[in-house]
Amino acid sequence: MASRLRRWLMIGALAGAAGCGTLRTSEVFGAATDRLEAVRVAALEDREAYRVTLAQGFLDLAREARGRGDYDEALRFARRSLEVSEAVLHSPRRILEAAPIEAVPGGR
Amino acid sequence: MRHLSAAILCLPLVTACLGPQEAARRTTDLGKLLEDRREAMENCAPRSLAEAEVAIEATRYHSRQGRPMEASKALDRAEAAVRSAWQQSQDNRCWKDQDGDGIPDRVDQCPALAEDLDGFQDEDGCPDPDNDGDGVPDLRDDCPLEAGTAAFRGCPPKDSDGDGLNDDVDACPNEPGSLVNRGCPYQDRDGDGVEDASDQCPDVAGDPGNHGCPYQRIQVTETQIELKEKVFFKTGKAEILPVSFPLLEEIAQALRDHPAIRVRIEGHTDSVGSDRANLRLSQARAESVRRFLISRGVEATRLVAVGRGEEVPLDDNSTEAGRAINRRVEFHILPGSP
Repeated sequence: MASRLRRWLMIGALAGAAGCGTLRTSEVFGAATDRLEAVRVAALEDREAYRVTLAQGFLDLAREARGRGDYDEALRFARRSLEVSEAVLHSPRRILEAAPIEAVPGGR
Repeated sequence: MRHLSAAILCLPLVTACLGPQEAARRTTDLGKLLEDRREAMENCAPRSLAEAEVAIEATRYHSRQGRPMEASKALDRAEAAVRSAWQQSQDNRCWKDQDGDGIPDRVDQCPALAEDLDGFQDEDGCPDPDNDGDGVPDLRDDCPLEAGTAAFRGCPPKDSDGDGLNDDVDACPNEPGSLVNRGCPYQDRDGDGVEDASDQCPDVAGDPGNHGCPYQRIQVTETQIELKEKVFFKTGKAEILPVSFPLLEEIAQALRDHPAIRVRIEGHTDSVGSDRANLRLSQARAESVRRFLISRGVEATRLVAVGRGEEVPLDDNSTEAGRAINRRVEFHILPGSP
């Protein structure tokens, strides 16, 4: 009886862990996909070709890993994609371009 | 069992399958290639660079997961992307070049200063505004690779006429001249060997020892001091008559003007009287002239007095005119005098 209970508890813990991993991966995937989409909306593919390609590449790799059930690897790749997209969106060059300095009326 | 199957599967596809160690080695090599040229690739082949990096990661991932076939495929993609990035980034312009001189900052010793690209040490990326280091900037240097002076527009000083004065200070650069005369030749209108500048008689040929002026009563030639008048003595005696003092004064002057000349003073008589008496008289007269010259400052060692008597007549002793010519004093310049 005890051994049967122990077995069920172990199965439950494993299922929980797997579910949490999937959930966590999904969140990061969602964020990485959103950020990459934001980069595209900002039309930065050409200006930031290296980082956009890198972000896309890691996201693709993350999807492949997820498809193979390698959730840790998928999470790692998705995070890297997310980091790169964040860096593009927050790069000083982009910020400067988004807010050009305008002439002050009256010459002040 | 699983590893064995993988090994068997890989056997016919040795190149297509990849062991973990081989994958690690090859991805490391590719990574180094990328790092070496990262800057150029980022600028000229950004997509290929990113694809290569992702493919390298994919290779490692599959290798970690024990999927040699997948790892091999990913490595092929990585190598293709690296090759593409490499080819696209060959141009020097792919590297950062702050000063825009075409020499990438990574090898430019002066990344903020543009190389002047004038054919002189252009590889270091540093401008060389004065290649030959002569202080004349290349822009104004006609001889930028040869040290010179500003006066010659950076070229070495030139002495066209070879007179020892450089052209910039030579008033006559194409005519050899004297240093004292600013490189111009002295004029010598009278051709007496004394330059006009120091010739007190520039239009009359004269004696160099007499400031280019002729002596009044004598002429110094190479072999003699020729007299234009005679030396007069008391009849039958060796005493010089005062009328001849100006002549002898001038001879003394000439000897002082030409301090290297040594002279043999020869006394000559006509044939009147005995030979012996004439010889003695001529000797006495020559010595009398010698003493006079010594008294006027001519060194005794430069003067030799010789009496020749009547043995060397110039004219006919049978006439008064001839005898007058034969009575004479001659001044022969001794050999060895300059």
